[in-house]
Amino acid sequence: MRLDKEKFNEYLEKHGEVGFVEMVAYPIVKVKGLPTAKPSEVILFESGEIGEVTFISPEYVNVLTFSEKPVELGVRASKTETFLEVPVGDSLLGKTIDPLGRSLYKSKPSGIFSEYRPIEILPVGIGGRKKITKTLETGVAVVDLMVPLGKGQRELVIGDRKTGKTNFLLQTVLTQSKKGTVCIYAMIGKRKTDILSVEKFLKENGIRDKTVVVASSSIDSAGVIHLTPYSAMTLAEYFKDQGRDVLIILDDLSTHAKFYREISLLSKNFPGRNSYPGDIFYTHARLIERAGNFKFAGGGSDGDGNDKEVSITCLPVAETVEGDISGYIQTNLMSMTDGHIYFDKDLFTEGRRPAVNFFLSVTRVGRQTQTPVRSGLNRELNSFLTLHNKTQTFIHFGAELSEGAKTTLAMGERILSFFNQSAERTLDMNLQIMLFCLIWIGTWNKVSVEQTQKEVGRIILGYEKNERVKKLFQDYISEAKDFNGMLGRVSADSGKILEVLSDELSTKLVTPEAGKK
Amino acid sequence: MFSPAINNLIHNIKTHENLQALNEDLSEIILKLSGKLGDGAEVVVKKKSQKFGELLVKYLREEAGNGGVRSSLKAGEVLNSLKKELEKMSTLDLSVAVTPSESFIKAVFAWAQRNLGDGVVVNFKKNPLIVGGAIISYKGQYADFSVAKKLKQEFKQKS
Repeated sequence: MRLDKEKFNEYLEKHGEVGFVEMVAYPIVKVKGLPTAKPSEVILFESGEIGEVTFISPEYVNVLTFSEKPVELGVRASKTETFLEVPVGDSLLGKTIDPLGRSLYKSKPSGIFSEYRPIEILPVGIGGRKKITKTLETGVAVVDLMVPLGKGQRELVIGDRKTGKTNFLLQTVLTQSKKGTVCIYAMIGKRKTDILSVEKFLKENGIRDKTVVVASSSIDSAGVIHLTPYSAMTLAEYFKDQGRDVLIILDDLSTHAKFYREISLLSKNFPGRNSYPGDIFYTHARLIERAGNFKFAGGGSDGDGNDKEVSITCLPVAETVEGDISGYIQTNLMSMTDGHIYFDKDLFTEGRRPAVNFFLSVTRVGRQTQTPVRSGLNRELNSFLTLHNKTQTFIHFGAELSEGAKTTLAMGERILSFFNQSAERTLDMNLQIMLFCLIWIGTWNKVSVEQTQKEVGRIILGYEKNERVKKLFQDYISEAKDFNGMLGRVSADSGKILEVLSDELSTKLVTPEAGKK
Repeated sequence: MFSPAINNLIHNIKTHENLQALNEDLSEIILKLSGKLGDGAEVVVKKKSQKFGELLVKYLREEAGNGGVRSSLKAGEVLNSLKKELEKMSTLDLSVAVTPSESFIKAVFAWAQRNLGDGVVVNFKKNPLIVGGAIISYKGQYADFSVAKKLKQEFKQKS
């Protein structure tokens, strides 16, 4: 937005209308005058601040201001006949900007831009969209195997504070950045230290230049905080229109709702449930709707002769209180997304990392993107973990365990320990599938769970550095018709596979036990 | 728009400054009259508002017929409703380069009444930077007829 104090008189004369600040309930300002102001029109104040019209009456207009300090009483205001815009461009990659496109750090200006885009637009209609068919890898085994996501999916990340949501999101950003996806991390009303720690993670992992952080801190005006996700989405749309897949993280929309409630109450709008305004659903739904899988506006086709597609995958975050996922905002967000990943505080205290409760998590479109191997694996894993969960409940009664139940519990423990993944590490999809197959066929059944973890850790470390191991895994997966076929081959060749791995990784791995599952 | 009694009163309130002063006096009078029983309202009005006392007493008499409003309680109610009516008055903002003379104020006010109707006060603002002419704003409409603007345009064209 290129509006400043010097242009005030110009706008005043151009539009021939003036308003006077009559009341200030920061960030809301009541301006008397401006008879033809339109909803969402940008208003420029004599003192240089800008605001957006939020309410209109015959006598006055309410303006949501974006300045750090309140506008003073009696200050003149002018119409601009423009709507809020943010600068967009490739030069924003690697930058941290505020929702108005200004660099968060004065020492690193965000640059000069040739293109500005409106913050609010009508989402693309059904004709411009395509079915979600491509997988989005998060690099987190429990999510990729149990709650798979697709490119263009809107998946809510929900859970109590300090349950590892941000770690998961950063792992996803890391995985996707490495695959060429543009990642936009919107931090809504966060502490400065949180913003810095996200920047540090991106820098340390060498993906800073592939990401944009759109941040507003908790000390910013509620108006600026309210704009954050819309501004980030506008930026995501710019990259989408360049033909690039985008991952956008909105961290978090429950905080956003709180700030919107504050603005709404100060505007004297009638409060509804939990004092949120009546349009809180629309506020979020019109934002989330802008993500999805789209036909590329620039035309062209993919290798199969279909329209070229580009996606904006959106991961909005919602915070729960004491694990209550039935809250107003939380359920609103659940109903407007294509599923949710639930981070369970109880699992976190049990030591599970990431603490994803896959029984309470949902993915509505992710499964349709899976290959037959992954799809079969997902089905098998789901039914087994349900059985494992039931068996665990059963042993609470102190019943004597059958051999079958013992096997189920032991395998369940191994799988859950495999799902335990440090926040710094991401796993390739092929690696996840192969490791799961090796565990599933009972390769390390004779050794302890801790020893299994060590073996798995060695393979992971080696895999990342060894192209031949990557190719070996890739061959097994691509040649398999389905999960059972893959399992059969891995089972038959497990000894050989581990020998190859031992040689390639220059480490002595525990050989598989003779008995198969 | 306004009752004849109010019209008679506001013909004497030409400027925004006067309107503000009248509002302040009214608030003080209403406060003094509240909870007071018996007669003597006119005395209170005259005592509390030296500038508008006579006008307000005349207004009270016109409102209640020739007998006038002696009861403090009733007078308080009448003045309260007057205060609310005065809130409906609109302001014509006028920035001029010099302090306006009495005759200038009268002339502008008469023009405003003729063209904009009753219930208008003029808010004069002195701004020497405009050199001459005036900047006018009324009900959100804005027009700059200042000499400064003309000069700026002239200089722009010349350069």
